[in-house]
Amino acid sequence: MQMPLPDPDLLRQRPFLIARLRKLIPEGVIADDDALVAYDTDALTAYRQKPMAVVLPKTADEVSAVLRFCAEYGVKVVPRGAGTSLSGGALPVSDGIVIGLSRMSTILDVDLENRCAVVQPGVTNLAITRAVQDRGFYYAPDPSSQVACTIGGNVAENSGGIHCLKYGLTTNNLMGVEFALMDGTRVRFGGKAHDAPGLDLLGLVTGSEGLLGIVTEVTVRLRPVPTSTEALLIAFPTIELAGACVAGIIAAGIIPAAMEIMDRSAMDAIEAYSSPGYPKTAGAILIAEVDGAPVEVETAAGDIERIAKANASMSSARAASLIERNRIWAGRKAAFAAAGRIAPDMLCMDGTIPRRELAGVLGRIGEMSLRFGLPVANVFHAGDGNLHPLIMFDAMKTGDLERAEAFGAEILKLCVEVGGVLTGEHGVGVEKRDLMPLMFSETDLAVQERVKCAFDPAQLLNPGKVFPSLSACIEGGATHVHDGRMRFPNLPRL
Amino acid sequence: MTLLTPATDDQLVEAIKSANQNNSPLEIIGGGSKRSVGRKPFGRPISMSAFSGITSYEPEEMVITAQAGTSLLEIESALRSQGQCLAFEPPSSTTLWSEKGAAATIGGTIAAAVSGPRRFAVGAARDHLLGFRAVNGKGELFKGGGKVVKNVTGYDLPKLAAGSFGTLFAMTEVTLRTFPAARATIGVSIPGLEMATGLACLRKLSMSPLEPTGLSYLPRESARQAFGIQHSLTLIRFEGDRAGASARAADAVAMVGTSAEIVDDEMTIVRFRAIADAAPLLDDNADIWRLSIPPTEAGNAISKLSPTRYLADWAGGLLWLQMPTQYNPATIHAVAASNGGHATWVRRQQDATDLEDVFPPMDAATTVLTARLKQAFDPGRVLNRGRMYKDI
Repeated sequence: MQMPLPDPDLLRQRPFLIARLRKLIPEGVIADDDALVAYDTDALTAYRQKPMAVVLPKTADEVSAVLRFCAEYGVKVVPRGAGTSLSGGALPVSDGIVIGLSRMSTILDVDLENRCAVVQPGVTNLAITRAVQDRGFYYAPDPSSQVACTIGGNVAENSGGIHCLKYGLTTNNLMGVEFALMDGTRVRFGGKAHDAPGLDLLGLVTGSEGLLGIVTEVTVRLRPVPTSTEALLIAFPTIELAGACVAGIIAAGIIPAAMEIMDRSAMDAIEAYSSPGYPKTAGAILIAEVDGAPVEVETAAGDIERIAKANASMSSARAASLIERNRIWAGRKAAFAAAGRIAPDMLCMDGTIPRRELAGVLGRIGEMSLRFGLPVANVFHAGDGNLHPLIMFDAMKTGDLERAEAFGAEILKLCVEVGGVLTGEHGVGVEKRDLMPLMFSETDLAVQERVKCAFDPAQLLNPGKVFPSLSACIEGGATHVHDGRMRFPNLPRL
Repeated sequence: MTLLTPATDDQLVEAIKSANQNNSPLEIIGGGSKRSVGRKPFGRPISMSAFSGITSYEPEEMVITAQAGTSLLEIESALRSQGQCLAFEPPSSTTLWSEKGAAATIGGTIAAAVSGPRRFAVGAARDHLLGFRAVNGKGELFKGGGKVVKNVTGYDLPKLAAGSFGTLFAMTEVTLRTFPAARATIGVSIPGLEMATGLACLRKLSMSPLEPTGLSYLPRESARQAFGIQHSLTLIRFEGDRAGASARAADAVAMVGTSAEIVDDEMTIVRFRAIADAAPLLDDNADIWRLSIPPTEAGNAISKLSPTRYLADWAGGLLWLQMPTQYNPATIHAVAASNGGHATWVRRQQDATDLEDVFPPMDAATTVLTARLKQAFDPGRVLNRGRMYKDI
């Protein structure tokens, strides 16, 4: 993975820049080499790079001040929440700084009558739900990393989770953000009203992967906890039959809150990790969760069981208690960690495909696994066709990482071929950056790069992410740079 | 000026390139039904009507792709035949939004980002647009988003498309998410509540786990105008299968008290269609405004603005106001803003070509970003120039 070449001028100025940053944020600058190790990667651990410094502001004004300073001196900025990105979204650059938002972790306002909460960006996803659950509310998007990941990072990545099928991604559960632009200006998009005026800039910056600005405050939509929830754990002899069952459920007009499939390898990994008690002989399991009024939940659960039987299900069990339901989901949410336990390293892919292609694509992934000689476990959000093949490898073995990446790229290429996309919820980051041309034409990418230029013409925010080619902004657009180096404003001579 | 009617992507590309060469702006027209919404763009009209037809519809994928000029009615009819719908409930009305004889297209519906009473529960037009193909102001054909329900690859340009009123690009094809249509629609109606009590009741239900899909309040004058009823109506809608919707409606009645009554499917559907179209306000040619505000501020905004008639939807989050002949548009924007929301001048007597007040005023930073995005997509400013904001 080629990152933009560091600017030697900037690297030389490091002591000066650190001293100035310390003046701006006296207690919040990490520049010690050992301490910087903690920030050299995110959850895509194949890539590591220490930044010049990490700055941990406590207020939006401090974020603005740091950005203003960086804009003035042409210092690149990588925003970071909890560093749980699976696509390398928070991978630092050697000649830039990381702005970590973890210290901005206050819940500012819970407004149940307007069904929203206003929070700082470093509040964790789960902390929002914890703050309101005793009053019968929750925040719906629930990425597997929800214990740790921050809402600011969720906004930047447009994070998903297992309940997207019914409740949508982050973008569908946001009401407003305060957003710091690279020059330090802060602007509000949306608020406590349902719609925002003018162009939908809230929608545009959500999922922009830290390339357009830094989220300094978030207004999220809260939902009342459903009256009744039922989780079903259904075993199938093959993954194809589990997939056919999902298609049947959707065709019957049922929208479960979540539908997750796991193959045998994934179940084995999870069983070894946390023993949730998944069926031992099944080729695949489907976890379906339905919620709503008790009578509806009962009807839907019964319908799902009938559809499962028609697709040769081996067994079907309903969670008898909240504890049992949590145990079923805890296993699923630990899938990445579990796969990480049985292999030294793991790559988690994230393509989405039309559901009808499920069986074919899984068959092809199985063939690829044999050909590349690397095991793969499949967990996926079956309701919305979002695959998470977990490719297992050993980075210490020469060539293993490259093979795993080639395997992953082939899976994603296949996803696009069958009408799908490169990433359903993890983001492009550095991981899928060079695959963007599989999905987008040169013009499609140029159009998107011009959006970048509209927000960050000096291209200081999160460089090297999302876009495969190096471009510089010109008046009203972007132009490709041929010498392989990004242009940056020169530092003043000091 | 003669109407341009490109029939292919290439022809549209040529038309836009030539508009740039001749510095001759274009007014993009779908079905023409919302031509009077927003400021009046200047330029040669270019119709998207030849971009018509459903490209693909797979009910089991819950996705439909159609050319942008396809009529909303055609799309809804195709979805209905498979027991599905566009969940954001775009009004296909022939009243508020429509000029006589003009039928809304799916492209225009998205470009104007209109959503109905269900919006607070299931999201807006923006939330249901998965992807699109378009030609920008430079005459470049490009795509944004994808054709699957879950996608975060690249910037979320579909969000930018929804509500851009054709000022950035002309969409030629859209891909939308579809949902199962409700098998049953059951209403709860509470007669005679005062505004504050009615709105509080709606907010209470919005905080309940009963999943209402309609929460509207019509004061007496509006109820009389629309339905010939002599008292205010607080209306709640439940959708789903019959047993579930009935159970939730019964729970709602128990929650709000004895004066509430259950209303059958047919009347509930009729009433909410009228609400979607702001029908209670349409008896004459008075100016109509649409306010999007936090639900708790609805009563305050109504009291301050003294509309001749009004209608509250989305538990108060959406207000439709019919204004008297003499009023100051700036006051409406100011009151909306001071209550945490914003206002749009939806129907007006005056020619809006030079009006600054149709869309809410933007702050300085948003103005700069909006101008830069216009520059990024349409540097020659040939597409719907001035439709939203002067020179944009």
